[in-house]
Amino acid sequence: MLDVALTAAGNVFTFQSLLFLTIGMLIGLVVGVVPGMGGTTALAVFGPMTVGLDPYSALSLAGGLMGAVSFGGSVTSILINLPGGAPNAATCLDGYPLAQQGKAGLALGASASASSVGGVIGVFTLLLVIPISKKIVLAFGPSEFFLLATLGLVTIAACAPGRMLRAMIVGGIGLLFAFIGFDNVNGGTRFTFGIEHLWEGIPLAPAMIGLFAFPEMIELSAKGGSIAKDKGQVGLTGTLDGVWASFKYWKTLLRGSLIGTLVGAIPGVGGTVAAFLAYFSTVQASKNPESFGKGNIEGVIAPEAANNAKDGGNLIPTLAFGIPGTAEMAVLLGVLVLHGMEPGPTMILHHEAEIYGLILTLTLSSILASVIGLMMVRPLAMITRLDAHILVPSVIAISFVGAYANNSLPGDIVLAFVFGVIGYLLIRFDYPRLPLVIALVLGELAERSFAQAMMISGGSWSIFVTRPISALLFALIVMALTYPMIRTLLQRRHSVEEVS
Amino acid sequence: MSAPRKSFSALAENFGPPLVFLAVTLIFIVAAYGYPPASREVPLLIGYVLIVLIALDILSRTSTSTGELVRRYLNPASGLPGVPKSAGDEGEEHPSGQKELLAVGWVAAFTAAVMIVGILPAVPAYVASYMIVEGRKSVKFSILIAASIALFLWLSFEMILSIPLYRGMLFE
Repeated sequence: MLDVALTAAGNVFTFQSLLFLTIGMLIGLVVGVVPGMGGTTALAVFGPMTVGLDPYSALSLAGGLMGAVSFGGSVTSILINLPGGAPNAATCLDGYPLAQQGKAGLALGASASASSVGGVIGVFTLLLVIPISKKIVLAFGPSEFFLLATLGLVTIAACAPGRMLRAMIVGGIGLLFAFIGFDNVNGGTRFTFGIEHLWEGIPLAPAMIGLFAFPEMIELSAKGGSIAKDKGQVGLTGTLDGVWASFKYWKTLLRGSLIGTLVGAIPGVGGTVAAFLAYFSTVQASKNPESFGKGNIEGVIAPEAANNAKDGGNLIPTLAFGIPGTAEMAVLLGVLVLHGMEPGPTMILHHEAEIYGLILTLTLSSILASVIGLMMVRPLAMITRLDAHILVPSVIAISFVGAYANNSLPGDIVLAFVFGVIGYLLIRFDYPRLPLVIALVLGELAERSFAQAMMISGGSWSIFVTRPISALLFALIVMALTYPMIRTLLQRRHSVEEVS
Repeated sequence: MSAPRKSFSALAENFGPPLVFLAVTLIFIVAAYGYPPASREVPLLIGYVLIVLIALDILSRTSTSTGELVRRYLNPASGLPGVPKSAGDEGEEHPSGQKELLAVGWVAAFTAAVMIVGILPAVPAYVASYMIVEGRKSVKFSILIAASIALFLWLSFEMILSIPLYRGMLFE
């Protein structure tokens, strides 16, 4: 193994490979910053252009791009509450309030270091896990996927501060929206209400852009001023404090990274779930859960670490079995095929050096992309001080075009507007928006897995509790549902005792 | 006349949102019965669970002792109308309705313009007119910003990413 790793390192540390790694990182940072344009689109556009390159240069470009996209996406999440991609949405929760308090540098610094460490932990876990990866992937069947999706939804509802019931309602409505379009069980279309554009379902990018960017911009437009309410210094000091914060809260960093790797390794679940699970597990573990959502730096560290760590996890089923866990990995497999690497268990046997090369480039880009990103912190943080009357039309224009560009469908711009209005009304009437996004992400997986599980069990619901991992996930769901009520009960008892 | 109107608007604000959710759920439930059993199984399950949850939400908005119990354990941060809410992400002070409508109107106009004339003419027109009318910025500065954004979009999408930008219903 050491010989192969050294061969891979020798091939990656050439001028040409490093040049393509840098190009990949710069593309990744730019694409990550553009709302709605995730790593999948970037890989799909730039992957085929690597045909003439040697495999190491091509994988350097792909690795650089994949490692940098998530940090690029977190920049807009923190500065303007506009996630570059769905997995960056969790970073908005505390990153944007920090930017509003004039601490954008702190949040970006923490995001950069958490992304780097998370990325490195993810790929090192991948190295350790590759020999036993088959067992991990095969341990998850349809019942586990269904319960994992349910756990994701329930956890998010349970963690909505003081609004569990409303969060569950929004999550349920989100699930109904997720059923719009192509029916995975029967093959027809459902709930399209005669609108042809909805045949493919509700695309995530326009929905997310609408739900997150639109309401903030409407509020900013109506209030005037700038994003940063406290126009304190947003300089290098704050950024370095942010970098240090990730290490100060090392438990949060480690927890986020491990959740990211683990969830990333499960096909079909993806970075969004990883980031939100990391965020909400940090809220649950915190002694001060009510500070989250108002600018708690741990709320930036956990999802950022998970978001970058998931890349390493995603590669486990992709490289070991040729099962792409996400759309991004499916495109990566396409790039690998372009360079003569056949997906499946034999890939590791026949192309070990190239795979280690990819792992190395991912590690390098996780670190270097954050360093490059940090160098741009000062000009990027100035966005939060821009006059609302310049920022609002610019962000609306760029984000709506981002909503269109994902599928090149003009109807997606209308969808972004509709979801924007929905998002604004949810805020206006005190309902959380996040469960809607999570339900849109998980709805299809939940329904498909439920149908498969019921088919396997012959219609018996016992399948959800008889398998060991299922039973564990079921217990976690029950805990997540009852924990907020138990906490309220304990708090009441405590306050009654204090009064008496 | 003003007192009954006020109480009606308070009632509408209090019970309106769950009733809208209920209406959406009922639409999905009714539509689901038009599909084969396998296709409607999960949507119906979600739909009926939602009806229970919405009923609890409505109950939590009443001043009854059961409503208070539900609110205490499932929605402690949401108060009855007139009771101050806690500050935070979803509970901040909002601008006036007229300003909100105006802000939404600008985005609606932009969306309509994109659909009719396409992205490249609509973007600079929207950005410049918003900056001039709403922001009272100078015409020269507004046009410069608007042109820069249009150029950025054209370079990023059409040139670098090879994604043709929508030309609008008039020119497609």
